[in-house]
Amino acid sequence: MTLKNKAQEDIAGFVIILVVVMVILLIFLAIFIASNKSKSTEDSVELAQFLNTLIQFTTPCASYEPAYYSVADLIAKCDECNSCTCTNGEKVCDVLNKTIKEAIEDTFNVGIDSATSGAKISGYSFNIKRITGSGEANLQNFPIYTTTSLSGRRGATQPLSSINGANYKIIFDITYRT
Amino acid sequence: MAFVLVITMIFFAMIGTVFVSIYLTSLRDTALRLEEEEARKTAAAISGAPELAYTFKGEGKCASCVDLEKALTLKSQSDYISPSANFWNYDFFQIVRVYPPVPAASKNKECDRMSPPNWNCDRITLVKTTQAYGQTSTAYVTLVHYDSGGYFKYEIGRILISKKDPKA
Repeated sequence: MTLKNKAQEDIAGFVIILVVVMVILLIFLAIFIASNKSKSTEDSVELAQFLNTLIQFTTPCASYEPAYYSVADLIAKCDECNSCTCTNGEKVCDVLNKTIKEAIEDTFNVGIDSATSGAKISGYSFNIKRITGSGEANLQNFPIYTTTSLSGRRGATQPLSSINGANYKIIFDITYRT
Repeated sequence: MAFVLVITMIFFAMIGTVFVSIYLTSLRDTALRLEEEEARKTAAAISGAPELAYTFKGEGKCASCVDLEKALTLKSQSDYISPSANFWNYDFFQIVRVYPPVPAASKNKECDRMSPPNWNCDRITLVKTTQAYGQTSTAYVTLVHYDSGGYFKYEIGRILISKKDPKA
């Protein structure tokens, strides 16, 4: 075997090794990216606790005083009757929207340092879904709040079992500023 | 040939180092997050203590509900909260009203037995053994109190605790 042929074999072997390594690296990279993608919304104990307290919060809306609705009651009430009003004349859905928006923005100080975690929060999304036999549908008369892009966020989901015979699900995500 | 092998090994080592550093970073983040969540769960579990839990029969079961009246009573019991009693084993234990917001005049104001029925205050400090307590763990809880309007009012609140330093 000539020296030239030997050198060619070396180079061919080296190229094969590189190709194999690149393929293995690509596989690892794909797995890494896939695992990160599935965690783009991490479950958060903090948000789950917040949702648990939020649904019990006593709103300023009552059918008769002093029987004030909780947020969970208002979700069902807003879903079944858009035009219903509280004793103070406000629409049930308006009170629900206002209460949730204020509670989130006051509690998490959206836009500035979080009082609880020290992390900066740039925005949030909040959605309520009605669970039916055929699937899930967004709650009518309730806007989906989205104030930010949805990357690098933390979230929580709170199921609401059988309020007046209907099931609901709250999906709440916040985005920490990096 | 030997030169090519050395270069190849160095190449692998560099790639490996990058992957290991990425893996270790994510591992550290996961550890911090789990530690934070554990602390939050501990703080939340305190709301179920009989000394604080809201257990009014007519209202059904309320998970993580803190009875503010009980907390105020507890605050007046020096056996529970004096630094020497060591009942809670915390350096710092505070309940804070978060939402609805209190009027500006009531902000950072400590609640006492005179606070109800208007609750013109926003915090109940049950334990504070030292000014230099460590980092606090927090958890959201439902605060319940009897409102002057004649009903039980549920609010959003937070529990803040700081465990005693075992070396102290």
